[in-house]
Amino acid sequence: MIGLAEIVHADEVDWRNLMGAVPDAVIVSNSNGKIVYLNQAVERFFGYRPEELLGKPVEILVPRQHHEKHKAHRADYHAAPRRRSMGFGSDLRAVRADGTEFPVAISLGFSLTNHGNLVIAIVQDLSELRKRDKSIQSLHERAARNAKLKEANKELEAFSFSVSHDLRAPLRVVDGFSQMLLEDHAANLDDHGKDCLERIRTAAQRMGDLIDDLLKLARITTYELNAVEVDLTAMTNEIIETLKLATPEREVEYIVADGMKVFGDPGLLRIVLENLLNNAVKFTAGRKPARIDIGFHESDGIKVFHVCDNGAGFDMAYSDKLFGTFQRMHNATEFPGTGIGLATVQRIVTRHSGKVWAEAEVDKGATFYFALIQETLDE
Amino acid sequence: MNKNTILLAEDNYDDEVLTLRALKKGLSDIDIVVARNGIEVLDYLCGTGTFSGRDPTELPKVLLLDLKMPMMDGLETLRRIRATDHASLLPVVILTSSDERSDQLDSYQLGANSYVRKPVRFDEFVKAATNLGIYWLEINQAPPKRTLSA
Repeated sequence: MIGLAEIVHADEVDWRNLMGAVPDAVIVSNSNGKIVYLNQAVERFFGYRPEELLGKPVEILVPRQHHEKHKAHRADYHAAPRRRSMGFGSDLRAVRADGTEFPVAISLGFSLTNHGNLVIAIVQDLSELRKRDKSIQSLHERAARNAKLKEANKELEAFSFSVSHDLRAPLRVVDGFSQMLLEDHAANLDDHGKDCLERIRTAAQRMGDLIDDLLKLARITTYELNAVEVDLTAMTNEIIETLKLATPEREVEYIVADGMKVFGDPGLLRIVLENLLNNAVKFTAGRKPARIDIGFHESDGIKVFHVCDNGAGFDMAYSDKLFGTFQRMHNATEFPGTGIGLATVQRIVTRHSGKVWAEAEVDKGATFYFALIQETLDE
Repeated sequence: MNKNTILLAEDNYDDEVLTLRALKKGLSDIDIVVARNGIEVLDYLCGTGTFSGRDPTELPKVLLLDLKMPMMDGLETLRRIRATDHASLLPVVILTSSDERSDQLDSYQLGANSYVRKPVRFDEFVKAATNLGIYWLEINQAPPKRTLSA
């Protein structure tokens, strides 16, 4: 049998050319684990010059945490050498001169030579393969995520169905029978008793409102966006007319900018404006004059709309809670509400790939800004 | 049979009490028959089962139909009523807690004449029930009775 070393010496040029043509890294080590030969691919894969590796232990190419294990495996291999692929589990990794690691596949062969038992390792760089696997995997994952999302949407629909049917019905019974007690048994009730019943009714009605608002919020998530150009100026004026009818006792000066146009879902954007305007009217109660300004400016080519009031404002220290569900910045007797309005606004703006934020000062007023950042929507 | 008969399909006893009270508050001289589920509704309309012997040509002025009922729900009941010969034109008002778009669509697609969501507030419910009663008993012209030859 002719040993590897003999061939190397016999026709070194031919041998080098041949091994240089091998696309994978070829590394030959002796029974002490010292590198005695490497081909050109080793340089390319690992970033070492040949002289930096020759005579060094092969562990130089193995991540540090596997050095001891590798040495033990090497001893075992020399004790019972055979052709095989190598693997400490499927995720075999090698380390480059710069310390970075990359995934590899390694097959091992051996040859008994005049220089002892030589081990030849063929190292394949799997980086590209893994990248391809990953992109295929991410496609699969995305498909799986979409399927899950669809399932979740279906569940949400079933849930809101059940909420709207099953949670409201008992509330009607609570309110209805309380009312019945008040009407039919008023003679047997003192003022405290009547007051208790009124409180029960108020709470039942409030819970009914909460359920309705939550349902609206849940529906925005599953609602199919239908984006067109929306005239926010016209929409704002319509909402203001309705507000004026609903609050005839209030004197509010509305200032509406002309030419507010944006690309989005008209139904959802109306909900945004209604919520912001309702809030502005609510929190300017007691202000004389109450002033609400609706306009926009452009920032980096993006239209930023605002609803600005001179009302109660809020402490900016709590601004992170502003858009949370059921979060309230004022107590309910002062300014009633369910705490769902701004959460709804944020969800709608997010569905338009946009952003909503606020600036305020206690007793000086609040300004809410929203920008629908992308002209394309998230679907 | 009282010419002002309302058939109420409602499985919940509390809701039944409230609905009867609400209807009777605004209307005198009405007769309300309660069915507990879709099967009882069909039995009443066809003179079968619990209502065997009842004259099926005597139809109520209006059916107030709850959607969520055990055994046979409102939508299935409506579908079967529309498939009958003698009661296919019966005015049917869906009276439900649901304001789900799909419920509204399905109801109208199956031929509901009206869809009313029961408000949580009892005074609003009374108002809705009174309006319903006045409209279907006094204002609306019922479909003409079908004769055997028709």
